[in-house]
Parts: sequence; structure tokens; C-alpha cells
Amino acid sequence: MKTIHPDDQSIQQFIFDKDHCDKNIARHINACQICQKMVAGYQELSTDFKAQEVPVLDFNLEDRVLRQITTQLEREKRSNRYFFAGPIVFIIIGIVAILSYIFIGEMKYSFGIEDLSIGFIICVGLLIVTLFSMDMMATYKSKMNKIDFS
Amino acid sequence: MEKGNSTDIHLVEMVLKGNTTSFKYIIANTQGLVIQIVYKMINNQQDREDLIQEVYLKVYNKLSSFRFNSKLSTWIGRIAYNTCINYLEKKKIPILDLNVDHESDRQEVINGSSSNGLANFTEDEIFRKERTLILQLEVEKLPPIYRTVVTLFHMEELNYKEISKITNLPLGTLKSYLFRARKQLKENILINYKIEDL
Repeated sequence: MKTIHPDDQSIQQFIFDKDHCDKNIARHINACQICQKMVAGYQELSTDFKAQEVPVLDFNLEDRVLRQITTQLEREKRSNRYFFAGPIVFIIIGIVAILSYIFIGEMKYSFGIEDLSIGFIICVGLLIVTLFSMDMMATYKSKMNKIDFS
Repeated sequence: MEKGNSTDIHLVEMVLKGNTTSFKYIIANTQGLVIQIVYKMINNQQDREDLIQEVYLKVYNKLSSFRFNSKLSTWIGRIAYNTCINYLEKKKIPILDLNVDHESDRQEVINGSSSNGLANFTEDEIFRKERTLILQLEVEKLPPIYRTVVTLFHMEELNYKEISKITNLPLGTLKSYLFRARKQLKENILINYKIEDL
């Protein structure tokens, strides 16, 4: 009677996935020399895998990644720094516009200047105040960051 | 379900509090796995290095979304694998095509080895070092996914569940890929043994 040996998949299952290997197949493999040689072949393959060289990087990954993270954090900080600049400028412009509307008659009467000139003076003044405030805020934040509170 | 261990939890918490040095430990603990995945999936050396760094930047940025449903290394491995898959798809590189060269040679060798009791492969005629070198060359010829799963299983010694989580492959599919990869490797080594007469 011709002996039927388990197929390649069952042999692999016997070696690498024993929990799911059919008991009859396992019994056959344990008793059959031909199957044992197949098993040995795959075990050799597995051993050769473990003997392979593990790839390594020729640079310090930790340092390089941390450098990139630091750069990223600094960029985020910079963008956060100007996050409130827009709304603040709009609020200032709003306040000045309201005040100008209220006091424009007074100014015309007191200084004797045209509407257009008043607008120009207000805009230049606003620009200077905004830039000055932003610079002050940046200086303040950098000084606060340098202080070690721990 | 596998849960993250206490070291993982501690390290993640420290990083989320702003301690970037703790991230160094995470990199040190997991870079072996990430390097293996990227090196097996990608062939170009420069791209490999860039992708490894990209993986860790993604890990850093997504760390707050890690829910400890798996080991941290498995989660990072999955990010590495997905990053590589995205890269391969972008470059239109096939990820699953099995090389069918030398099909007739293969069949002949298999038949020959069967009649000899399939023993040739295990005999000491092929010295271990040469076999390891051949294996390395043959692994390179496999499709990226096969290369990766077979390396994760045999070199990194991860279990089926962990590999399944990293690659997002169902267990049955994963086992089938592993079976085909090993079979192909064994057959190719037999062919090389015959052709090159080592």
C-alpha cells in the first residue's frame, strides 16, 4: 500500500504552528523518516534566518529624530507666537476707529487738519504700536523661556 | 488582548508631558523592528533612512492617540509598515508579485529532491555561511510583503498575532503568505544549490 505523506503546508504547520496541526498528521510526521527530513529542512531554514545579519544604521537615529522634533517644536512655537497677533490688531483697529469716529470733530477743530491726514496719522501710529507690541511680546516670551523655574 | 506594559505607559506619559528624552528610549527600544520592516519593504538606501526618520516623527506626532491596546512596539511597527506601503504605492512598486522565474528548473529540482528523500537541503554539503548568504539573496528576491512577514516571524521572532496587527493582515492570509514565502525560499535555495554547485 502506498503511504500518503502530508503536504508541504501541513509540514510547515507541524513546525511553525503546532497548536493548529492535526494530531494524525503530527503522529505521522513523528513516525516517518521522509517527513522528518522535510521538517529538518525547514528547521534549518529557520536557523539560517536567525543567523542572518541584522541591518544597522550608520548614523545615530535617536539624535537625528530628536533634532527634527526640536526643530518642529520651535516652528510650532513661532507660529503660536503670532497666533494672537491678527485678532489683537483687529481689536486695536476697531477701538481706534470707534474713538476716531467719536473724536474726529474735536481733532479737526483743535488741530485744523483734513480727514485724510487724520486717517494717515492714525494708520502710521497703529502700525508702529502693533510692531512695537509684537516685538515686546517676543522679547518677553524668549526671556521667560530662558528662566529655569525648576 | 495584548496590553501595553508599564514601561510603555510610563514612557508615553513622559513624552506627552514634553520630555523628549524619553522619546529617545522609545526609539532605542523599537528601532530594531522598524529598521527590519523598512529594510525589507524598501530597496533604496536613501529612502530607507528617510522613511525610518519619517516613521518616528509620525510616532511622536500621533503618540497622544495611542490607546495601549497593543504593545507600543507593535503600534510603531504598524506605523512603519503603513508608511512603507504608502511609499510603495506612491512609487507604483508591486508589493505582492511573486517572481516565477525558473519555474521549470524549480519543478525539476523539487522532483529530484523528492526522489532523494528531500534530504539534500539539510545536508552539510552547503556550508552554513554560504547557505545564510544564499538565503539573504533569495529573501531579497521575494515580494516586499513576503520578505517582511518572513523576517518578522523568523528573525524578530514575533508571533502570528503581533505580525497580523503590524501588517493588518487576517491570520489566515498571513499564514498563507508565510507558507508561500518559506516554500519559495526553500525551492530557490535548492535551485541555487543545483545551479551554482556549491
